[in-house]
Amino acid sequence: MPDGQVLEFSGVTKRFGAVTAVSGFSARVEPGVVTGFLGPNGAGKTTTLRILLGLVRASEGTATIGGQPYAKLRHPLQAVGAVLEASSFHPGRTAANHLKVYAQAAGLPAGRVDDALATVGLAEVAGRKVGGFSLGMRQRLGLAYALLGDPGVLVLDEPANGLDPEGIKWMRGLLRELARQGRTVLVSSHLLAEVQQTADALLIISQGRLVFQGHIDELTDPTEYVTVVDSPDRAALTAALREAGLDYEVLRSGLTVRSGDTLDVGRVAAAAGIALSTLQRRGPGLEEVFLDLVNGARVHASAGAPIAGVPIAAPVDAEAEAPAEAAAAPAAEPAPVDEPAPVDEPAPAEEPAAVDEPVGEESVVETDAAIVVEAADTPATEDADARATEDALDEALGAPAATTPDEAVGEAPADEAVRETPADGAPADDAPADDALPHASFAVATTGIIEVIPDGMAPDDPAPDDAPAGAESEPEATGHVWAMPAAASADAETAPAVDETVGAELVEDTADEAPVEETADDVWPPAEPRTEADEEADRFFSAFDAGDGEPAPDAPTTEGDDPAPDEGAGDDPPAASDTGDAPAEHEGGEQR
Amino acid sequence: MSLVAASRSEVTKQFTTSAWWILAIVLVVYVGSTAAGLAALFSALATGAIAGEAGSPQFDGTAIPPIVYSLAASIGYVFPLLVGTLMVTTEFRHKTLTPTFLATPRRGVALGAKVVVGILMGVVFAVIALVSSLAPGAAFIAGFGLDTAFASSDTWALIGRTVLALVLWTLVGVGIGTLVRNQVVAIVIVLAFTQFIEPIARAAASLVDGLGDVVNYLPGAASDALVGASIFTGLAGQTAATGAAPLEWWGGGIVLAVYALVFLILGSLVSWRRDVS
Repeated sequence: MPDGQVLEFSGVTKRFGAVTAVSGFSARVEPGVVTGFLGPNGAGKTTTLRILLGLVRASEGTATIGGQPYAKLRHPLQAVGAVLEASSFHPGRTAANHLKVYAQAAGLPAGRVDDALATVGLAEVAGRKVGGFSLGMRQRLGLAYALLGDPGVLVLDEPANGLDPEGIKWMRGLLRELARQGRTVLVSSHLLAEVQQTADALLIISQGRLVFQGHIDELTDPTEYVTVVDSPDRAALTAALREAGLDYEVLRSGLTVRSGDTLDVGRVAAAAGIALSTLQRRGPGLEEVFLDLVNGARVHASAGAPIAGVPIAAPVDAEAEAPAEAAAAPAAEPAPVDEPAPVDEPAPAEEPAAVDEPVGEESVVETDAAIVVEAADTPATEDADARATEDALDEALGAPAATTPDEAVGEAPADEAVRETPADGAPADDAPADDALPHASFAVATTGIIEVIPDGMAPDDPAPDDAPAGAESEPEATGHVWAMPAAASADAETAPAVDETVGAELVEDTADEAPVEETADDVWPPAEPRTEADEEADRFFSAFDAGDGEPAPDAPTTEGDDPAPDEGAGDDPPAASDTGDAPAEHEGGEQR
Repeated sequence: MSLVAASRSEVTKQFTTSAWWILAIVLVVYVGSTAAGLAALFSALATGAIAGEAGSPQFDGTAIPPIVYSLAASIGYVFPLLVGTLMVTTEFRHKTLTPTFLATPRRGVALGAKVVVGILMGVVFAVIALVSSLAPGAAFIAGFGLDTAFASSDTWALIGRTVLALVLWTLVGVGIGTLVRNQVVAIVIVLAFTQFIEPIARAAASLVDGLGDVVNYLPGAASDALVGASIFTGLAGQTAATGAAPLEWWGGGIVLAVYALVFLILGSLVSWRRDVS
């Protein structure tokens, strides 16, 4: 088996006329892990991959595979397999002939064509013209092309596009297995949720620049985790928590406890004999962190330099501080990270069990996320204004806003701040805020401030405002000043929440179907550990089924036509990107 | 080595889609029926089976075979030209250049393979075209009791030069395809030029002084010169009606080869090395 090679981008820049598609992109992709290559549409992912593959010439810089540019590879298809788009076929050519053309060009034995088709589950339709293929089948054929030379490096551009959930699951399993074999796997996507399931390492690109490089865990800060707990007997629960000295905030979906461990919270409840309906640990949403990175609201040290035009002073600690920014606030809450992480990451390929689950598990996770996002505005805003208060105080004490916002916020002991201005319930949601909820409007207002500060408005407006005012009256004064933006941002936050709800419903649908899929799993061995034995079995059975019934292994192929789950999966992404748009919108005013 | 592999791949590309046999069938029908019809007409005129009008060209029986046989090139050349064009534009149209260049990253090699296979396809289509013109043509000529001229070495030289001409046309097509990229535009250019512009220009040359010298260097005229006989020059009575003597056969061959070479080089420099996205 061919060894994985290191892919290295160094200073890759590509200009199309006046437009710079990729700018000074330097990154390293290691073998043995799946590396996700993330970025919004138009960020330069495809261009970067095409430069790596010698299809597009870089204006500056080099991209190499095992130290060599693609064009210098002696046996390119045996070294690198690439899936770039689902439409690179002559519609009048059969699947087998399509592969034969390139097997011949690469000097590969004809047998590789059948092997590759079998691997992707297209053996049955090898003799059919590609023109009649569904998008999912084309995507599989593209993958078959990539696997033709049994390459040590796989480069896939949005490989999940057009695949049904079963196909996506299968693809993830395959990629993990290929990485486990020691190959280099680079997968691009515009959806974090997609990559999150498979990738260990991440490259995030935005506007042609690398904004993050590292392990997926490094994206978020563990201190951003909270525990969400709820009980039918909330009064007893709140009493018990108070007694135990754990601070909490009341949300629609439960109580958020920031201090202490999830285990502590459970223990308190158990000791008090309270039956819990929810006990969950939540971290910051990777999706939101991702969006912040992409929007430039957050800067990660691994990116080397901050995005041009985004005046964030201290990139080093930015990661930790970022939650301070209100844009990030909703992000900070809905974090299903912990759930998938333990299952997917440590030993993905070795455990078939881990692979069986992604779909079901994912739907659960995403449902959670969606619910949390709905509720998230509350804690987020609270958090934000708590910090904002701190911030405002700091500023009032004379710190120039422009230089300190990040640090000030980052250092603010969030918990205490929260205690000071508890549960403002800014969006005033439906929080059954029986305990404490003053200053609702003010909270929103301060959120406005927070959002504004990091992006350079602060020095102009709030600072002068702040200076003369007393520390006490400060927040309110600014509150008035920023009432409008705050309201706007509140809207912006509501919007994604709604979208997410839609997404959640769709996902829940999928979740409902989970049992079905699990039975499917029983019948059909999980795609991921598709061993030779499996394939042999597949071939064996398909020999029987030649004409009539669909053999089990082809289930994914035929289900490619099933629109329902497809749409469910397809709709989720837009919801996520809507969330992406929202912060972008209300940040637009601040950035420039 | 790599060129051999790329050429094999290119051959598979040509014969795994239906374009080639559809074009071949149209070629057979078009050239075959024209050759049959003209052979019958000219033979009838020459033998007096049909009385020609007074003043119409008097056909010498020996002039008929070259005119009819050369229909393979004089009207059939558009097919190898299209085959060559499609060899390249199909790749642009269906975005198969991406997998092609991934498998053969050296673009010069990829284009070289197309030239090699273009020569092969030119030969294949030349054979098909010659069969289509020779078989019905000779049948009617023989049927009227005239000499089919198969004993003459001139006929076989003409057949050989026809093959060469059609190979060169295929390469001109590859060059045009590389240069133009867009399949529809390329086909329109090819058909408009070969079916309208050049025939009209050649017809006009017989009326306008001095135009003949220019027209002789048009690719169609050069091709006819290379083959050595053509329905166009033949009908003009093989006199210097155009005001300029046609090029020598080798001259015509060189002119046609220059067209192919110029298009290929331009295409290779201007278009073939561009980014593929």
